[in-house]
Formats: sequence, structure tokens, C-alpha cells
Amino acid sequence: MSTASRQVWNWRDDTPTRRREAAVARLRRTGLVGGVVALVAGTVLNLVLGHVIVGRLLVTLGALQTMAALWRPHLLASPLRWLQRFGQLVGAGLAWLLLTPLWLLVFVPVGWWLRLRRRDPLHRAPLAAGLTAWIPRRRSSDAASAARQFQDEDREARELERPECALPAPELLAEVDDAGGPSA
Amino acid sequence: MNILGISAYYHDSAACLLQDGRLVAAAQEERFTRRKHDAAFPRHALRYCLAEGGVSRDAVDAVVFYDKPVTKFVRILKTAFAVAPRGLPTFVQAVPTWMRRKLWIPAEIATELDRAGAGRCGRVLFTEHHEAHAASAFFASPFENAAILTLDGVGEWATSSLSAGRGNRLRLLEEIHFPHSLGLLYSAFTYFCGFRVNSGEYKLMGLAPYGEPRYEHTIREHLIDLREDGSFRLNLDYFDYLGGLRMTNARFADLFDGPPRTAESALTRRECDLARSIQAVTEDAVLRMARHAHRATGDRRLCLAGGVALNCVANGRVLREGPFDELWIQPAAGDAGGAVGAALHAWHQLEGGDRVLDGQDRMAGAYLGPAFSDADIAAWLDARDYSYTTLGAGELERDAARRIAAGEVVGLFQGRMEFGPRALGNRSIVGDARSPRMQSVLNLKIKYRESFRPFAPSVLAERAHECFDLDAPSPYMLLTAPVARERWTETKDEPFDDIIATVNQVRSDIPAVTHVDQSARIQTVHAETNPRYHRIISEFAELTGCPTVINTSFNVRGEPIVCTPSDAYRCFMRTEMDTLVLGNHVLEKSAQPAWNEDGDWRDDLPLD
Repeated sequence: MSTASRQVWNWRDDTPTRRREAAVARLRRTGLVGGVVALVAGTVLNLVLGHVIVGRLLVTLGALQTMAALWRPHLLASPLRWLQRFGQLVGAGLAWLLLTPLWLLVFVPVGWWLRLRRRDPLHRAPLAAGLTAWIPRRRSSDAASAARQFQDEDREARELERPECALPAPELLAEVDDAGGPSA
Repeated sequence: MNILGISAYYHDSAACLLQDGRLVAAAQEERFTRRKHDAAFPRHALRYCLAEGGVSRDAVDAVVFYDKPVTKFVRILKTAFAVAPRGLPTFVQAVPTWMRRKLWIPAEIATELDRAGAGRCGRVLFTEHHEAHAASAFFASPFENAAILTLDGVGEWATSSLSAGRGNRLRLLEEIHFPHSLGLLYSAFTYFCGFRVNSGEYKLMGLAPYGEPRYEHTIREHLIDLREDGSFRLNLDYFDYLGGLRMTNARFADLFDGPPRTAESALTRRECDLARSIQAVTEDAVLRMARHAHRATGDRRLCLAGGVALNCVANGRVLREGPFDELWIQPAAGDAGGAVGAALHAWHQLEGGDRVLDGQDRMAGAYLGPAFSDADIAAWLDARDYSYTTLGAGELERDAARRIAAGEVVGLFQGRMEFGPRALGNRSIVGDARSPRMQSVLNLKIKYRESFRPFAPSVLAERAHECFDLDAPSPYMLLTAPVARERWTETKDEPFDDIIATVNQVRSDIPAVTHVDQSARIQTVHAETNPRYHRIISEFAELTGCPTVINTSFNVRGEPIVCTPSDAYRCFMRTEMDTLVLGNHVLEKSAQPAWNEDGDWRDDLPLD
């Protein structure tokens, strides 16, 4: 089998047994990492910071998880799934908790301020009769611009009022006419 | 020089590999992960491309991403400022994803390349979204000079662009900016008609011929201010996509006689008329843009890309009624093709690589994905005790043609997988286009999808004129044209409330591929790009006199097109397909062992 097709369709190795083994290995790895972290955190809480009850609870949970990871990894499948869901919920909750104040303190006031100044970052106003909505593209792209993750904004071009059916400036076309010679 | 192109994080992630300017491999991530329109980083596709090109460690010279992520993020922030205090849910949904992944693309690329065993890459580059689309259309085309139009939902700011291509150079000339977007306008109607945005647009296009354009005037009056040069502004008072989680709002619903259709509910006259109306407006806009592009560049040839360029009905009109002599459309016109465009842009525009202009396009028939040898397939079939017969070249084509002519539905799996949304004979389900019942059989028993959806014909390129009113090649199934007048049959008007009766009406002597408006979305099959498929249709033509077969993608509704022989076998066993051709091996359904799965597999596939 070619390297490329083996990369895509490795059916000899992709048997149910191998898949099960891989899943068990994944569970063992995740369980061990979580268990050891809980053991260490619990020990520190108990012996260094003096939080005896929480510390012992963490040590017990960590020890149980580590033992399960070592000898019965499949027992961890369901708890880890629930933990993942819980983590996603916490993540979503945190996003709301952190971003709502940002929204209320920055985006809402700035949005109102822009509206008061009659500035619309999206240019939603209707277009006057007889004008075109085509925006001339005056900047050209080169190696320097390709290295950047952003493009230079040409605000002026967006404000230009050009008549409907206006053609692009001849110099833009000339740029490519001059550069693009015949190919091989 | 090895250049990787990547598109990711919106929909239809993909990767491609360019070696010294030659497109060696390209594939969408969904084919490997089996998640339709997968937007995740294309790690599987990337690994495949590296393996196909035999790229050794530290030998990737550049990786080119298909847009400018920071500018896109700025657009999202500016939109938030513009709509606040509305828009908080959208903001909370969007920002964490950006913070977590989308703003760290060079790091993600470095990690993935390393994991794939490719070591470190020379440079990470970023093209603009529409620049990538334009490059995918022009540099892959057979034209030395051309005007290029790109139209889609949105990139960074641009939603449409006009460019001029000369030799190995491309220059963007004009753009239309977000939130004014022809793609988003079409998607808004897709949503309103109860289909999924970014995947149901085909359905809306297929539904259009069943309706009347009775809302066209309303759309023009209230929603879009379309200018003579094809430029336009949308009236955002009717849309919700800036600050909400939906595409349209209550005002939009008031305008079109009630709330949006619920997904999967019965289609009514209204949805058909809405589809027809927005299709008419879209076609008009694209035609006006094409005329403007012709005036602006003076070119005789046009290249198209971007999601809207998958609207083959509009493309057909541009070809027939537009000012251009020739038209070439990028087969992966959507975001997946952005990967190809990004890589081509880097090679020609930045590296100054020459183009090869030999009259052929650079897409190799879009057969750019993985292939599997007959020996590997046989080993796999043997390992599983699946019953099959191996046939030699010539014999296999005759056998497949005989089965199709006998009314069987044949799954055709051969050669390299197609890149882009269309199956073009290598991952296809094929049937007899002359059969009046084939459309409903394929829709309801094989694809498990809506009965109104039309099927496309594959026709021998040299005999296309016998069946269709088309005088240009359409190898990528991106043009519609009327069925030849002499093939039409008498039809009687059916009342609309019976859409099944309308679908099942025989409209020509190739009814399975004749849509309600006597049109067809044509694939011309060329012996140079797909010799086996060409031979199968030739054999079929010899048996029946008809050089056309019905061709639909090898998948069921909600599933990506099959990639590997095991995907194909699973799809074959899950549906009522009669025969599967896997390379040189022929499998009959009746000879296969019973297929058992826990639960209903359809529950695992999302509705598209």
C-alpha cells in the first residue's frame, strides 16, 4: 500500500481491538495525569497550606483515580465524559461572566458614541442615486503584505463617491498589464 | 518548491500541496473526519497531501493560509460596535473561539506540521480571502488573460471582487464590502425556507424552478438596491446576521407572508416562489457584474470563484447571455478552493512562478484526492470475507454499463477522489438517465433526501450536443443548460400541491436528469481526464443509444462523499444500491453477508 493511501486508510491497524486498546491507553493517560495532579494538589493543601479536609478529599479522589487509571481504566470513561461536559459548561459560563462586563463597559458605550457622532463602521446607509457600490482596490499585495495577518485599510477608498458604471482607474489595470508577461 | 495551502475555521476546511507550481494533491477535511463541512484545522488533509507529495522532513517551503485572520477579527469587533447593545450572544459565542484558536494560526500550523512529521516550514503566509478565490479561479484556469469575479458570503471585508489576470499576475481592481453580500442574501433565503445555511443553498437553487418569481419585485424594492454595474447595497433593516443568531428578522417575515419555514416541514408554494425570486435576483446581479467586468477589463474570458459561483444556473446564464466568449469556474469554488488559491497565489504572484498554458486547466479534472490500489482493496475484501468478482479492463466497463442499462443503481469507486463539492465519476452513484422512476428511487431509497431535488447527468463530452443545448465543456458540473429540444416530451400542468407528481412527470427521453424547467446540471466526461468513466458511458451508449447517465455523489444525506473503500462499502450496504464497483472489483448486494448496525445509523448523521 502506498504511503498516501496508508495515511488515509490504515485498515490493517484500524481493527476494533486496536481501537479499544487505543481508547484504553487514552483513558489511562488522562486518568493518571488527573490523578497525580489531584494527589499533589491535595498534599500541598493538606501539609503546606493547612486545608486539611479539602486536602484529604483531593488526595482520596486522586488516589482512587490513579488506581483506576492503572488497573481499571474503563471505569474512568463515564466520569471523565461528565467531567468534560462540566468543563464545557464552566467554560461557557466563564465566557459570559468575563465578556458581559466587557460588552457593557466598552462595546455598548462606544457603540452609542459612534451613533451619536453618526459614524457607522459598517457603512450601512443607502447609496445615493447614480453612484456605484464598487470600492476601488488601490493597494496591491506583495510579499510584505503576504507575511502579515492583517491587511492595510484604505478608508479613503471606501468614502470615494464614484458614478455608477465607473470603470476602475486605468493605472490599476496598467499595473498588471505591465507586469504580466506571457508564461511558459 | 513545496507550498501548502490551507483553508480552515469557517466551513469546508481543506489542504493542498503545490510542488514547483504543480497541484499534486488537494482534499477537504470532511472526507477524512466524516463530518460534513468540517471547519476544523485540516490536519488529516494536510497529512494526506504531504504523503501524496512524498514531502520529506523540513522540506515545506511555505504554508499559505487563505485569509487574514486579524482583519477578520477586526471586522467582527467593528460589527459588535455597530450593533451594540444588541449582539451580546453572538459576541460571547465568537470571541472565545478566536482567542483560543483563530488568532494563533502560525503556531497551529507549526504544531500540526511537526505532528505530521514534516518538521519546520520555511514561511507562513496569508493571502486575502478573495485574493485566494481569485487566484484559485485564474491561475488554475487555462486562460492567459481573463477577468475574474469572486462572490461569496464574506471574507475579511470583501464579499465580491473584480480582478484582472495577466499571465502570472493578478490584480484586484474593485470590491464590495460587508455587510452588503450577495452570498449572505442568498443564505438568508436559504435559512428562511428552512434549509441550513452554508449547505442548503443547493436545495434552494433546485427548488427555484418549481416556483414563480412573485416576490422578485419585493426583494428589489425592499432588500437590495442593485445598480446597473452589478454593485449593490442591502437594506440591513430586514436581516439579523449582524447582531443576532439568525439570518432574518421579523420585518423580513412580514415582507414574505409569515415566519420562516420550519426545517423538514412540508414545502409550500411560498418557499418555491421565494426560491425562484431570489434566484432571479441573483442571476441578474451576477450577469450585471459580468458585464461590468467585461467593460472594466476588456477581456473576452471570465473566471469565477466563491460560493456563489457554485450557482450553476447563474453560471449557465452568464455563459449564454453574458459578454464573455469563454468561462472557467473553479470546481472547488467555495472555501475549500481557497486553499488551492492561496498556494497558487504564493507560487505565481509572490515567487514569480511561470504558468503552463497548454489549453488545459491545472485542476486535473479535480481528481486530486487519495486513490487505492486494486490489490489493497482485494486484501481488505478478503480479510472481511466480502464476496466480489474481479474483472479486467474493458470487461469491467461493459459489465457496469450492462447493469446500469438494466436499471440497477451502481456505486462507482475508482481512482483519485474528487476535490470540491461534486462527485465526477470516481466517487459516484450512477443510474440510467432514461428511467422515469430513477429520480425518486435515488432520492428516497439511496440518498434518503428530499424528493424534489434534481440529479445531474454525466454525458460524453463529444456527444453532449445530442442531449443538451450546450456548446462549451462543463467537466465540473458547474453549468446548467436546457435539454435538447428534440428530446422533450409533452407534459401536462400539474397542480402544485402535488410536488411528487410534478417531480415524476416525464419531461424528456432522459427524464431522470431533466429538471422541472427542462434544464440539467451537466458534467461533460472527457476521455483524457477520466478514461474509465468515459468508457463506461461509451459502453452504455452502445447498448442503449443514450450517451448520458445519471450521476450523484457517493454518499447519503448529511454524510460527506465517501473517501475510502470501507466508506464506500458501508454506504453501499446501508442503502438500496444494487452493485458496487470498487476499482476492478464488482460486488453484488445480494451476495454480501448481512449488514448489522446498532441503532439507526441515520440518527448519527446531521440533517444538511
